[in-house]
Amino acid sequence: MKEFAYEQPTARVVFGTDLIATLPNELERLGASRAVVVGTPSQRHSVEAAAAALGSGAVGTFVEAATHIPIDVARRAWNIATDLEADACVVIGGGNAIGVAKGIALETGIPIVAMPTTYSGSEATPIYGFTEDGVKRVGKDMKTLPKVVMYDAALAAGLPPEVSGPSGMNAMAHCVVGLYAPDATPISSLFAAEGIRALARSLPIVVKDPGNLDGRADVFYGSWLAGSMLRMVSVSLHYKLCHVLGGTFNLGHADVHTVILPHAVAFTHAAAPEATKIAAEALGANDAAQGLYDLIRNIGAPTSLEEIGMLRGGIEKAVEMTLDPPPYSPRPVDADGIRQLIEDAYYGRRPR
Amino acid sequence: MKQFTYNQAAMRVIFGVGSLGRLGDETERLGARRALVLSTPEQKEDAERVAASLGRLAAGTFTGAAMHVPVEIAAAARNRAAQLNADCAVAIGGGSTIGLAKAIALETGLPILAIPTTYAGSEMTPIYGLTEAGIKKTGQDARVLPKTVIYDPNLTVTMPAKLSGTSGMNALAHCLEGLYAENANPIMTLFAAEGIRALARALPVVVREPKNMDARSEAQYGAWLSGAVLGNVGMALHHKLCHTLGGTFNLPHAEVHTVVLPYAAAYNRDAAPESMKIAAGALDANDAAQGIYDLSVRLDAPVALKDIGMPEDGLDRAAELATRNPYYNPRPVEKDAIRQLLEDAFHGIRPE
Repeated sequence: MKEFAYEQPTARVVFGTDLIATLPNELERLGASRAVVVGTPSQRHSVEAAAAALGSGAVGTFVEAATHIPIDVARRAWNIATDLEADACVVIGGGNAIGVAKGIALETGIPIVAMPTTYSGSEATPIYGFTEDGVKRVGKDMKTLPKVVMYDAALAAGLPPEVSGPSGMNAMAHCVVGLYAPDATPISSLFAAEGIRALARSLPIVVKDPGNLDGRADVFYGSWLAGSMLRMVSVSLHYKLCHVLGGTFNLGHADVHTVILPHAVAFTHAAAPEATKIAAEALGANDAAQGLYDLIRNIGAPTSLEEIGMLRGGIEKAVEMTLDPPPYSPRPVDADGIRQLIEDAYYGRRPR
Repeated sequence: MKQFTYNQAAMRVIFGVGSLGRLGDETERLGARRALVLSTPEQKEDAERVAASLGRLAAGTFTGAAMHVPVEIAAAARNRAAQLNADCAVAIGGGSTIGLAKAIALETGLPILAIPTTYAGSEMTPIYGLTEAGIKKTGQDARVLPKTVIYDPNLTVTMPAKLSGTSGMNALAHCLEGLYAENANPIMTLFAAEGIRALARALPVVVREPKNMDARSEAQYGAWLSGAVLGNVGMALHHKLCHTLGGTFNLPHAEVHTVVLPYAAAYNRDAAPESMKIAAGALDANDAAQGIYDLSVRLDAPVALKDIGMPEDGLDRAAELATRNPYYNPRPVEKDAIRQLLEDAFHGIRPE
């Protein structure tokens, strides 16, 4: 066993039902009495329910769309929180709404209570990002890690299959790729394998039956573990590919993660046999890359870059950008290998 | 549906052969400049070596730690900390020394850096105990949980083979009971299963080859996980029985745990089938109770209460005491059945 460091922050995670009603208790635990409630417009109903449940414990709400979290939206949110003298931020929503809450926490230091509605996993990380003049700047600060995360399966019941599938596979990517991260530890790998198991068994259920609350809770469990992976280990080739492809060709974030994952794993397989074996077992497959590909098919999520809008002519540029500079990868990256990987992903070939 | 609450306390763990070399850096990381190094009289040399390696970061030593943390010793250690103007307690040793550090932290709030040399697991829990006029009082306080733990398996090689076996089985008991705890949660179940796997694999090697560093590493890794389980979820019948037998009949702590565990598992077998399946899988056995018993035999550890000093005429009293006050257990605790359990444990009969 090689030497490693493992660090865990203070956190409270609750899985249950009707959790909005328990918000007053959670705020009391934090010693807070003036919460600002943040959410996306699609969650307005839940935001209002939360404010109502909190009664005089809620001092205001902030409901605004914030894709990629423009810096002026984040500023507006923290100005409001400051003006209201809020001492806690309750957020109900996905990665963007949680990102707005993180902006508030970053500036004011008040604790976040997060009630996720998607599988972004942002609620389990201290990573924040804001977009200014079209450029997204990302940072890490423990102040932005929610103190309490509450998963209420009913809050995700409205996610349509075409969102649940790729969003869940995005979470899956954090787990699978985290198994061979340079700073993986036995503990992070325990989380990763559990996350893979949870997502592999539950994604087919929620795609087929979106209102299945057991399945929804299980996907949340997997996405929480996946978010925890992002906190514990650093990123590698898979993320660089997704960043390049998504940014350059304006492809959907979760879609790119979904399409690339089996091919990134196939590329790495021989160089990280232990990690891919754990992934395969957790997937219940003989081979991790094939198991992922088959799962994606099974849940009707995209398998090719072509179908999510990339043009064939962009492959060469993507290869160049991926290698500039070369990302961490257990298997050394070179132009031929990356070209083959992207081509396979472009056509959606089943990994061999 | 998945419903649980998981509370995680902030902590940093450094694990690995030679990781004691990181002590200076880790002490500074805590913002400490005047560490008081604690140990038992038997481990005085270790404490002095640690203080020497800390150099100017060490304020002094207190090497009077004793079993069950007598209040007089706790007061003397606190005085020493105050005299030296200590800003951190470095505890090198097992439960007694770490317990003393906790007694200091409870009153003063000094951060603890623990360097465990046994498998007791106290370094992972917010549980403390103090003995006054022969009566031990225990409690829980977040302040006594160490901020940093350094696990260096080098420090465990001098633990005698026999003690390693029973101390390891004591750790395994925390994992087993954690699986069917009243407030069990999936993360602690993951930790518990991994802990059982690691201990079951490593302990037979450790008792055969006490200097095998791979096995020592894995055993200590298992002990870490078992401590985390103990710190996070409640215990049940097994711990109640061991507490009763150890306290009333003055039987040695780790040995009692080793002997009783297979019978506690057999008692709860049908009431906690999922937990037993996980435990059996982790033990690589068909049945958890039998697997634990067989493991003890392989470790050449005691399997019968009669062999560790239990008087046969005390069994009735033990059954009476262990069933007097109600407490949580998967299977209801009934006096006749407990009397039978104790009878089996007394003779060391392999669970059916």
